[in-house]
Amino acid sequence: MAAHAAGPAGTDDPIAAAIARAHLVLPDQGPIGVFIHHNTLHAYQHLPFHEAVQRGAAELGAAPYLGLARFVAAWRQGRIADEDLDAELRGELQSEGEQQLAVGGSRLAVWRAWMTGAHAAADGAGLAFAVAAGRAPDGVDPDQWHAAMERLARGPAAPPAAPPLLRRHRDALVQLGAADPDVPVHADLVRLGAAFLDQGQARAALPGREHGFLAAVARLHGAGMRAPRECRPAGRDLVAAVARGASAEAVLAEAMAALGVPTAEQEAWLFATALALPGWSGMFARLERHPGEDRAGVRVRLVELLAVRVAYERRAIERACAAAGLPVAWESLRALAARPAPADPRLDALVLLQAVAVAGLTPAAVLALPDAALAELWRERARCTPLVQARLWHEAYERRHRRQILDALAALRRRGHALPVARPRAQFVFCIDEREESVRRALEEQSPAHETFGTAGFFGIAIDYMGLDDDEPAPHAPVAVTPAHEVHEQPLPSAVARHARRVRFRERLHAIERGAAGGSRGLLGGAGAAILLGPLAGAIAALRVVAPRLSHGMGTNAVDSLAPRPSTQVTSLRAPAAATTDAVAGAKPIGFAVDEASDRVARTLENMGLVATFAPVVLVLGHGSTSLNNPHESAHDCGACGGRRGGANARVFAELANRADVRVAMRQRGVVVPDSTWFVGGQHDTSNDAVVMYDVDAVPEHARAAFGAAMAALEQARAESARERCRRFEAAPLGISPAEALRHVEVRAAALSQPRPEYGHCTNAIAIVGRRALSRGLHLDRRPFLVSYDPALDRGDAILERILAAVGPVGAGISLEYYFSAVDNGVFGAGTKLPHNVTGLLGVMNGHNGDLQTGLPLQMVEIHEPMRLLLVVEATPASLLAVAARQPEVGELVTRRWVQLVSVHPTTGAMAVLDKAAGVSGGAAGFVPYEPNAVVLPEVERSIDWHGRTRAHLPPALVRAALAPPGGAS
Amino acid sequence: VNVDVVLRPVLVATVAAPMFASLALGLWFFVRGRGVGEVVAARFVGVGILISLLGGATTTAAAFGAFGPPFLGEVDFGNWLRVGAYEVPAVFLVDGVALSFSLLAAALTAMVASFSRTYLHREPGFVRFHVLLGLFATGTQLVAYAGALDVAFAGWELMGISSALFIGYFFERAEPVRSSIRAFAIYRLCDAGFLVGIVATHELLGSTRLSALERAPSLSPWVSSAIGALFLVSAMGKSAQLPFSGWIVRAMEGPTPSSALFYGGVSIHAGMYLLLRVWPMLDVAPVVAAMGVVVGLLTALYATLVVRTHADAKGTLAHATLAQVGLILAEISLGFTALALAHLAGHALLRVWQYLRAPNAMHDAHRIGHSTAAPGWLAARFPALALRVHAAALHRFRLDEWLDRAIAPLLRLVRWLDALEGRLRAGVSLDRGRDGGRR
Repeated sequence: MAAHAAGPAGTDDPIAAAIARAHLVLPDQGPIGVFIHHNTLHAYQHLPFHEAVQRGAAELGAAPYLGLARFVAAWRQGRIADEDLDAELRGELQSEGEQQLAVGGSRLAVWRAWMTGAHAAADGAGLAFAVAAGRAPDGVDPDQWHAAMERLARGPAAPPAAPPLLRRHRDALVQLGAADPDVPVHADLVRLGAAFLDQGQARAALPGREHGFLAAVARLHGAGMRAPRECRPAGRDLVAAVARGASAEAVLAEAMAALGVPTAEQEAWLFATALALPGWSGMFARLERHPGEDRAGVRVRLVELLAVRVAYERRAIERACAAAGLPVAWESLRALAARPAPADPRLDALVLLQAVAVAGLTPAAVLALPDAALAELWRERARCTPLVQARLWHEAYERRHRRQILDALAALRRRGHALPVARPRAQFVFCIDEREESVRRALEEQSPAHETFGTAGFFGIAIDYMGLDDDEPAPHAPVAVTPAHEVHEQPLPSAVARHARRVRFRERLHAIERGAAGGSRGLLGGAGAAILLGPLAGAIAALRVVAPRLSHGMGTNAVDSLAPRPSTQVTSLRAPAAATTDAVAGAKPIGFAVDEASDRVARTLENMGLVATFAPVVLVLGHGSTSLNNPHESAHDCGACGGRRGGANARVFAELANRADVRVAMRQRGVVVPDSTWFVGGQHDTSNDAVVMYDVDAVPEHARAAFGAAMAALEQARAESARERCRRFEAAPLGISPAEALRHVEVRAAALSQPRPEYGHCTNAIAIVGRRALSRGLHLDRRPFLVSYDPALDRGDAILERILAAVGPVGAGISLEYYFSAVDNGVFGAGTKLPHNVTGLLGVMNGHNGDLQTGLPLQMVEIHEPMRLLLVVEATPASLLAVAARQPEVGELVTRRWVQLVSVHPTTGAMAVLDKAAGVSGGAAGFVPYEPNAVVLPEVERSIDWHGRTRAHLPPALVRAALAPPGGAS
Repeated sequence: VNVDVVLRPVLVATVAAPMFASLALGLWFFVRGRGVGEVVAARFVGVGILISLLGGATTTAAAFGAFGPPFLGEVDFGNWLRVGAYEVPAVFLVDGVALSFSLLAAALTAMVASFSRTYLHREPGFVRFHVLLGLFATGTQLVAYAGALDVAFAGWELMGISSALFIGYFFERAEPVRSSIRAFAIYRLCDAGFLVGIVATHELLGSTRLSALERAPSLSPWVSSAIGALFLVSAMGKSAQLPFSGWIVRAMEGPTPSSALFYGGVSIHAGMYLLLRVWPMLDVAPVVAAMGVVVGLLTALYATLVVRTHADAKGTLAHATLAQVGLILAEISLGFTALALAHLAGHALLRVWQYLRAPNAMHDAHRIGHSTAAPGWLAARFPALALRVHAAALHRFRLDEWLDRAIAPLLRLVRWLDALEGRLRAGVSLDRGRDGGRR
């Protein structure tokens, strides 16, 4: 992560410093066509988790944790136990917890009363009304309420609330009830910014945008464009500034001077201004740092956006101040507005009431409370702020989950395993994705001779891949890896002519479609389209809405029957001679050399611990996701493939692994794939649970039967998995059959009206790195990333380091993206999808003129339980700390506790949790042994017996049918 | 055909069923609160809309002679209201134009209702959305079958209020509320024209029945032009024609399906339907017809320019829609009413489909690519003018600002009257302290 420097990068220029800070803090999300999950607060990742989320949330005006009301709800549903809450309170208060307060009750009990009653504390007026209407919430006794109100009237009063946070003129103006200058400024800025960055939605590109934003906007003003009335004469200012050759920084400096922002305040003021429209500012910043993502070919600079913005804003502020008779100078204006909001005695009464309820004081006793008791209470309350409460709730929430999972793992180990099988019938390799957990479990339940593995879904094959219908290669690799090779999908030699016909046909068709899409939005084309095509459009619309599954693919099927898709091959291996010719253009080589191929395949097999005991067939499945009307589709694709689909990688992997020359080369490394083993690549669609396999014709005679059996097993497993997913969808009945479930998910993927084609990573919470025996047989409710790793094969922790370096950031990125989008969907997330408006092919905004919405939409996170990833690794604490020391990003994630790291000893199974007190140099002492509770796991025969009757989150259970052979190769 | 036996109940059901379902659902929700499930809510309103659609189909069948001799004409339900000589007749008119619009509106509403059932799943405003959908459906059917201007006005207002409430659907954010109020204000302003037109028609022609408009040639050209202009203004507001076009893009604040139904499908065309209904009045007012042609063509030009410069899916669609509605206005004003009706129907179908798949823009661009148009002849010949036009189109010619300025004197007058009223009331009120000092 380059985002470590928290403060200004050693500069005393306030403008440069503010821009540098804004670059770090603004949302780091590129154009939405490729969605990469990342830590939303990446700029704060060098800080410990709690400090980071609290600081980051405060800067961005967001909530760092779930709302207190939602924690209380989780507590009531049993997702947080009393025991966990008390443990966290004891940890926080230590020995002070037992001290008695003057209002009666121990400090710990009073804190707990405040925390468990926190849901009622939002709204004083509502509370008073509820009491008056005789519908007082739980824990509020009307008599005591009145007594508390009466007692409070005599003082001492609670300390006043903190004064409002005033960072720039707009905050002060709104506080003082004047016009909000952001309204006209944002309205114009959004339109100008969208036209400037547009990657191809507008028919006519913004003229002059190649000169940069500031020059382009000034040019428009020069041509007679007028700023909105509230911002005049900002246009003239900009034209004059550009005419005299002023830089964006100079425009900013001038405007800030006019607004009376003193030099010492400029950095903070400008930083806050940059964060006022975070989506658009963030997109400018992102494209400035990643010019490769800027398809428009314009020079994008955040400082230019801010220059235009502040030029508009200055005039809007001046006008608003003049209209309201307020001073423009920043310090004077701020001084006027910096009055704390009046305290609400009704909420203070609630605080008192909840505290005295601990000891059960009578109303008379409340009235008789001495002043000292109240003063002590206010001091106590100042420590037990809503923020502290939320942090404690959050820790208790995680604690509950952590204990449940670790106890289940320990119980599984105690129970032991069934007998091993000599040679597995089939092996299935999936991405580590937690969405594949249910498919893997369904396969394992069918037979102990089915083995499953998990590895990062690019299967070690980092490539720029160009599919048959693609115009250009796109990277299929984790974002941190830049592919060194290209692979193309090409028609078989026998089908070249057919392919050429298809290409011509599709080009013509797409040109017609583009023409129709553009023309129907034009004047005469629109009239023609309306009269001639309107009825057809209506018929199609009705069909697509009423029968989405049947009508889906009507168009593509028709095209495919007119111009059939040829059989293809991938150019995975390049001929030795090709190496010299490729080097000419400096382009990436197309395909791998034998040693490159064997290196990658062997490495991936070693990572998984699959180096001996190969089954007759090994099915390698990447994944992707299909949906419609979903700008966020890429967020459902494979994170290990950089937000793309992993089928191509699986196909290339299988092809390489089947080659005799590659196998010979691998044998030298000690990876011996027998001749009787055949690899087949494929892709699993996590939305409609379809599975396609590639190069099936190439399966040799000896593997045919095994392949057929494996496919039959996969067919059953995907239906079982679809059924398991359906329990989360309220639109699917609980008792749905596997076949109906498949139909249901197919409708979801094909419906334009479906904002939840799948729930994505919604249930992610765990990552288990180790042998499958560690967790095989556990129903983990699609929560864990499952990473195969065999510590017995790992010398010097090299494999562990590779895996954690790849999986740690990807897993933490997904987990933290979901965390932040779930805790504050309005700021960190994208809000509800319903009013989203795709803009500039860059992203979505709310309605016609809103900010670009970053993060995940509400529909993707609504059932998510936001907690940090529980990373369970089958390795000793010493190994883990050694890896953390060598891999800075992994070290940061685990020692700053962005993930919860648990070590499971490879031989003894002893568990240890990396404690919150651990620092970077904590040594093995940072790990605290975990003593599992001796729980008896619920046992069921099949998964369906456990999840078939509920839609709620489920604790782990033991699935007898899936119990694995012990240890060994898996 | 025996109108009383077949058509009366059918027509009543066609018009009233959705609203009845909505009111029942709303009442139930009021009593039960969050206890009302989505399935129940969607089914309630869905059945209402389906009855409406089937009713429209039955009436069409009757018009084609399915139940005896073909029936077209007025169906009288007596008077809604009678004050002295002023009567508000409750009368429906069944003819080709009415049936076309009724079927179109009912079919589109049914489709969008079906779409929304999934799209709005788990949305806190699910029931509210469906209640409003039912009210809107009744509003459109009232407008469609209205045999008198008063009846049309009732439906017109139902459409207006449901439209404004859909724009402000996400009321927890400021922008939808601002936009909703803006649309509502434009509706009110232009509806005043409609209302005055109705009263004037009654006064001068003795009835507000559409059939009475056949007597329009008896009016003096000045009078018919004045009344025609009032109708034109109300249609311009509802259909967002210049200079009232500013609100249409703000209407994109609502959920996708309601945007599709209202601003791609039915509501945006309602103004044009009204003009088709009052066509006899325009026919004898060539000045108004000329105004209609000018307004329509200017709107079409304006919207086409805006479409070219905008980079967001829904804003582009809104203006593409506006351009065609402008053309339809011009067609009507020129007297090509049959062409206008065909244009209207085809256009509504096309746009609803395009709106419903507006969020698909990323998929489409990925599949078929996108094409930026080459610079047109204007840019080649007059680059400075082209830049100027581009700049103006990007800001939508600052229409709302012009409108605000034009309306400012009226606002000042209203504020002054309000203050005056406050003072007067303070003078006569017994408890002057509390009530008199309003604001």
